Amino acid sequence: MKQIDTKQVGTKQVGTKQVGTKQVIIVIRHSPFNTSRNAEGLRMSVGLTLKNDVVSVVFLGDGVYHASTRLNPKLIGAHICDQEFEMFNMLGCGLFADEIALERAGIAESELRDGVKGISASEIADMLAAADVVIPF
Amino acid sequence: MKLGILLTTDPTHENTNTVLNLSQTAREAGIDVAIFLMHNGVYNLTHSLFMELANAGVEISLCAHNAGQRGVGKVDKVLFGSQYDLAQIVHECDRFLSF
Repeated sequence: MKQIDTKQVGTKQVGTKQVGTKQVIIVIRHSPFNTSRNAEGLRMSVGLTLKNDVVSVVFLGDGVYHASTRLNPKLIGAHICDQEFEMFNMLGCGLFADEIALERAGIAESELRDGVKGISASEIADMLAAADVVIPF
Repeated sequence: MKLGILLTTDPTHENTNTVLNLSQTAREAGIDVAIFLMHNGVYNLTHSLFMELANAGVEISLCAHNAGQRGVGKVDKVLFGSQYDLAQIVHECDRFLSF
């Protein structure tokens, strides 16, 4: 299993975060199908960068489907989140997906959207513990 | 001390009662409370007790985009704002809870 620095959230380090900024993590945990909740959660995540806080998004459970390039929301007229993911990468937001959930969903790391990294549950737990604000969506 | 609350579920969900009671108790303890409504949470404006929170000094704001999508009309003492307002609450509060 590959190792990552679990203190890395977004492009900035937890230990050296700028004074006055917060580490904010949004957890996307539901299937993207039959609901606009996930799309709204991602839209909210982009909005949360407006106060220069360090924003990261973690995909858990069925939420990992939203991090996959195999998802084709156009087919069912669902909201397309390409712009949100593009913004996350432009802004340097951290995008992480639970490796176990990815395995259960049959999603290979090569099928993840740009910028999304698969990480272990313990690494996610460490990130959540280090965050100032966690928003499950 | 400032408590920030995000509510994304409609008034039929138990979250509404939790937020109502939590906010009321916090205000009685002298804690500032700011609530942001988004997604189906904007429907909570139709809840009479929710509006009593505004009268008790709770700051209530919502995502105007979501309200427009759902046909929720403007109400006194509630800021029809944007995601920037949520970002501001998250940035300024001492504790933040999401429902």
